Amino acid sequence: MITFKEEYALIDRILSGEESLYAVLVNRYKSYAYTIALKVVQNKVEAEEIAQDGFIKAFQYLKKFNKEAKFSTWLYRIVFNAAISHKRKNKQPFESVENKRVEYPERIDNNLEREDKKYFVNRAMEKLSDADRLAVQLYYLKEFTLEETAEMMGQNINTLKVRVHRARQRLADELKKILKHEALTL
Amino acid sequence: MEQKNYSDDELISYLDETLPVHDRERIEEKIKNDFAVQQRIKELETIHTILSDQKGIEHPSANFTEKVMTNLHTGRASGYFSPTQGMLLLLGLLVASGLSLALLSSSTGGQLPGLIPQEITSFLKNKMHLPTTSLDMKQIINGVTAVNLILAFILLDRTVLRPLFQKRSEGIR
Repeated sequence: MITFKEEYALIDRILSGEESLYAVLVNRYKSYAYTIALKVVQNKVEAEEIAQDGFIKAFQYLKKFNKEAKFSTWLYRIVFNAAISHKRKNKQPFESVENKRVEYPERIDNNLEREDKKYFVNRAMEKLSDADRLAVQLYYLKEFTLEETAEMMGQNINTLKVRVHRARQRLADELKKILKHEALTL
Repeated sequence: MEQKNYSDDELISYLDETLPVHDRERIEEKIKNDFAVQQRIKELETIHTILSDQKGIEHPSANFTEKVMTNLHTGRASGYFSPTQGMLLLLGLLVASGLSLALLSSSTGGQLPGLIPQEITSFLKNKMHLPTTSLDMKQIINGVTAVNLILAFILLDRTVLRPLFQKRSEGIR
């Protein structure tokens, strides 16, 4: 584990020509960058390409990196933005949960146990806005601080907190609807 | 309309264990005595538990770092052309189109004398039983030029214009 001072020193060495040292940073943050991209695009191959492009972009703009910030947060922001624009280019626009009618498949078993609930929560997650879904997913990853997540998503920390609360509220409401629907179809 | 004597925000903060002690005790009291609160906390707790169970950090393929390091100077890892490569290809396409048009303008009556040696054309006709109808080279070159220009526009869009606008919109800090 290297400190931020050591990391800045490493960046200085990379900038002064020791480019192979960039592999240290890639190894250190690749899983986080990949996870962020994966949460956004939900496709392993695309997430890997986006994360790789993010690292390449970060390398190309390393001179512009402001050392008052953490390299990781700056990198995650690049990856996050790339993933969001990739998703926008390749997917249909977001429809909020209020506007979308959710079709629930018939279930053979009547007991809505944990796995079933998990299944329905995942379905409901797809109906949240990208921003709300990501906010809640990154929050529950518990790998990034709220400040880091807010910075990554380019949002104010209070907005992020509101998003996380709102997303959980909506998911709870959605789950309630599903349970009611299941009870009626028994 | 039913008046709620609690807020979801309070209940969520209770689940997150971020409430001060006295508020926490107040909520616990409500949970004990109010069926609506009990139901709501159960719903929110289910979400909380399921989200807490989500997969943690995922790992990319083993050659991830190697791929990044190999492509550090080529622009992208995902196989797109870099702006420089795109510009070179674009230039190549424009030169090819220009040459075709120059060739076309120097030809007469849709024929391109000297382009394919006479021996080869007669050999192909005799041995491969090619149709005897003469091809209108003018039309072929026009077609090739049109395809070249379309490709040039696509290249310009993908390798120069899109990256430029994307870079602006992403606003790297």
